[in-house]
Amino acid sequence: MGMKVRCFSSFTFSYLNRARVLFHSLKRFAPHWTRVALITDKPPPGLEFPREDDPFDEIVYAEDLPIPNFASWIFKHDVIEACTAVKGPFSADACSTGADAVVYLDPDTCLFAPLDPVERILESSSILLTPHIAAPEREFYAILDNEMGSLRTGTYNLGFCAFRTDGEGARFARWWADRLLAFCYDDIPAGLFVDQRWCDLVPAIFDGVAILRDPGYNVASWNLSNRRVSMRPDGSFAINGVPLRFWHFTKLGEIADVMTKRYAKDNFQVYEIWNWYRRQVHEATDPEVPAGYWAYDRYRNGARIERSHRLAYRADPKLQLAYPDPFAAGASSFFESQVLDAAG
Amino acid sequence: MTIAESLAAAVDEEFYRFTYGDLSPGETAAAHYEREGWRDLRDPNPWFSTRAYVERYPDVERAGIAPLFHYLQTGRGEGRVAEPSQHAEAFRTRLTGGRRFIDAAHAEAAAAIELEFDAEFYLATYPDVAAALLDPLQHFVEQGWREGRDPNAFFSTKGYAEVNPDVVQAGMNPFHHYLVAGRAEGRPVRPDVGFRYEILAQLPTVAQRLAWTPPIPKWQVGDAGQLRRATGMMIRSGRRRLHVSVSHDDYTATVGGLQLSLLREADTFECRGVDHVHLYPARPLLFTDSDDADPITGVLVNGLRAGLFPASTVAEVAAGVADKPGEWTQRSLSIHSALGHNTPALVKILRAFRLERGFFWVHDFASACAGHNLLRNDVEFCGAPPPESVACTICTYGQRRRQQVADHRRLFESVGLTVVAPARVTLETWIAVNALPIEATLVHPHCRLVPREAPPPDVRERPLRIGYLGLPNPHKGWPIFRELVFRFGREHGIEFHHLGKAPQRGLPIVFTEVDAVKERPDAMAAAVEDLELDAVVIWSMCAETFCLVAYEAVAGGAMVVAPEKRGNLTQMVRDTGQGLVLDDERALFDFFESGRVFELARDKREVRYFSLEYSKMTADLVGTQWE
Repeated sequence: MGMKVRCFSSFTFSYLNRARVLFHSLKRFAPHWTRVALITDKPPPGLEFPREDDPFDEIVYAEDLPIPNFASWIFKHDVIEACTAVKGPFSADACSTGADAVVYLDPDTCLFAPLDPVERILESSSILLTPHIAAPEREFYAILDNEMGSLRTGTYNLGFCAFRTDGEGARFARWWADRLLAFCYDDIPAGLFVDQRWCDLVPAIFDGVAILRDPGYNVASWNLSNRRVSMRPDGSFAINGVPLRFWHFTKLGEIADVMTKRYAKDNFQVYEIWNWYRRQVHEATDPEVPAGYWAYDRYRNGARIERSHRLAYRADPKLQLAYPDPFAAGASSFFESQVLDAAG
Repeated sequence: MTIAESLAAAVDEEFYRFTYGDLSPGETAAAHYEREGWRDLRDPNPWFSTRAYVERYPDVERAGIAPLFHYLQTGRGEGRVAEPSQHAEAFRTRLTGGRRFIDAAHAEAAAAIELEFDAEFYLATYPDVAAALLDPLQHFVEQGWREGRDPNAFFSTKGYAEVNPDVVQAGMNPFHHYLVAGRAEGRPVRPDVGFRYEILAQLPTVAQRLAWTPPIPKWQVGDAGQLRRATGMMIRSGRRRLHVSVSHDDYTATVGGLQLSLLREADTFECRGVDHVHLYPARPLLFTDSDDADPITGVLVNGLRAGLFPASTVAEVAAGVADKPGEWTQRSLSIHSALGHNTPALVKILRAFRLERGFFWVHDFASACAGHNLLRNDVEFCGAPPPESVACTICTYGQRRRQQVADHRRLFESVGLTVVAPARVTLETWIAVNALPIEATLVHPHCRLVPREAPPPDVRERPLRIGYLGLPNPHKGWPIFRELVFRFGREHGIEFHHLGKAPQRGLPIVFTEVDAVKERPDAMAAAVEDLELDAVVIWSMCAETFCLVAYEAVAGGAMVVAPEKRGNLTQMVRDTGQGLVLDDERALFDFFESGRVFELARDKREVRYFSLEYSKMTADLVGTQWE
């Protein structure tokens, strides 16, 4: 285990339960990696955090990242955009921490086997991406869901990426940070889908890019049409015969269930894995975290921030200059201007 | 819950008063039923016939308790059958007098589905509808489908809604839609996810399984004096030999293949003049009891129930009995199951009886995992991979496994045990999945097939008869059998049969009640022969340690259809040649679809018949040493 790896996930307290499950799996299967929780949020009142048994080596709050005018910047983002955008500055920063490589995993992923091959790939490559789908689809709905979905939202799933902290890897991290700080929005008509569409450009503009088509990585409901899960006699899972490395449990809930059933069909091992994950998340859930909680979701007076307010603020540099703290709610605040606009 | 509370909830005041007009105004129906009504074979409510229940289960009458209470308390859990009261129809007619719909759309839906709606299935499946005396069709049309209830055994309301979301959006009753449009359009009727999906969706945790078995009420627990009186009988007998057996339940109270085997073992010892003590947990848990250091233990002395006692009391009394001079000079031990026992407490009892060696029977794989049939999450045979594996991590039994293995280790380290398996393949599997210290191993089958003369062949033309034997459990392959019935049950010249204790309603299956008892252990084989079953499908999910039903099927002249890699089930089909092993479920359905299944018909093959020669279990193993 020669490589020093800094592994991180980006989440809010609403996803703390999922992150705990992921980080416990990292502790089990990649114990030599440094595990960093990147949190774009503030702890809800009454929450004991971190707990003694929390598997995080380091906790970094987004507001402590080198992001100029943080309040103004984050106001331009909804929760998904914000949590995605901070991956950029964190990654660029991680290149100067002494680590040899950085691995990002979404909080709703979970390891089922060691990720040693990732380290081996990074010995000869600088950047590692996994595509959403790694084989052509055949069925009509799968083409609509998956191939056309990839065309809209990006070829590579950025629930996972890995890069070296030197050479092309470091160049990539710097570029990625710059783009995400400025353009990490869910704006499909404009060709943007948070960080993912940006990475479509990566094989074109950087050398040393490895595309990992191994079906054992990033297994998710949407790509089960081409992946079959089985249990091996030694008690490990296999995907199309190769080891299952990590699963991406996107959208825990009814939508995921329908999607999972559509593609998994009678591959019951899929449901075993999902059911286990649901139980783990349930057990890792703190009742002190209110449903849908996000500290940056409200003005300081408690009013919820409308998406239209964020879009207006994002679109108009004059507003950003006029209201450097858009969360404020008193007289002559951005909030007041929006409410008056709506009334007037 | 007390008897009175239980009955108060289940006895139907209105029904009882309507049916039996002689109640005094001051007495409730429940009180009357408990005091004397059941003795007069009165029915407590529309869905329970007292007469049918006691006629079917004479042990209930002997026990002297209200049959409805017995059914609610234990009968239901044991799979016993409650039949509707013969007065139910009169009562129901008086109340409803025909159905009336307020909403015209409901009336239209009812008319459209009436022919394929199975009222009997609906009432049996949803006892709340039956209890409320509602008209089943009206209930389904007005609200049942919205609650996700099914109109018959074939149609899944929720399943159809899930794969046809437009029907839900249109606010239409899925069954109605299916009959008037969906069927003709060739729409899917349910998600194509397989029966294991349902098992997983309802999979209980170990904690929930433990909670199924309530603690033993204090008044049922006896003291040392009571146990001494019972064991005194042995002391007075003057017998010089003692056999102690241990299992997971009271084999005189529950009927099953294993229990019948234990009865044979016990009877043989009795005939040979051997004192016999049987130990079983009062709470029949599915796991070793590591939570209670002094669990309540049931004791049978020479076949009679001595009572329930704390394990420590049993050890104390056993030590007193064993210390008496001039008593037993030969002692033997058989452990059929340690489930439900606290092994340190059990070891103390065995030590008190001065038992240092014995036989450990492999009836399951409980010594290797808390999931005693090694079905990961109850859906796939796992072969007991390393406990730290991902398979064990995601398995509902994974966490309890270490404890259960440690409990067995303690037992094996404290008593010198010879492992006895009923089949060679079972012994091989047991050795592969356990790492316990053992003295020796033996293979001793529960029964042998002895060829006998065939009755004259039957030449009548009839459909092919395919059977399922025993309780309709998933791990014994009921869902696969049901799927065969779904696909091939209404045509194709195949008649499906279920031989067991209770029928499954709503399916085109011919049910025959077969209850093996001590006096007639081969009732199942005889029924297979009488019904002229051509083949029996035994699609077990687990590795069978023996699989008595396979022998019963073969003895009665049927062929067995079984999957690969199911322990002695697969092995016995290969060894006897009386059946067919198929690779997987796909191969099974192909076998039916292609019509090859008809080659198993009795008139297309040589039919062989066998008698079943049963072993006497441990009595076969220790008897010769003593002669």
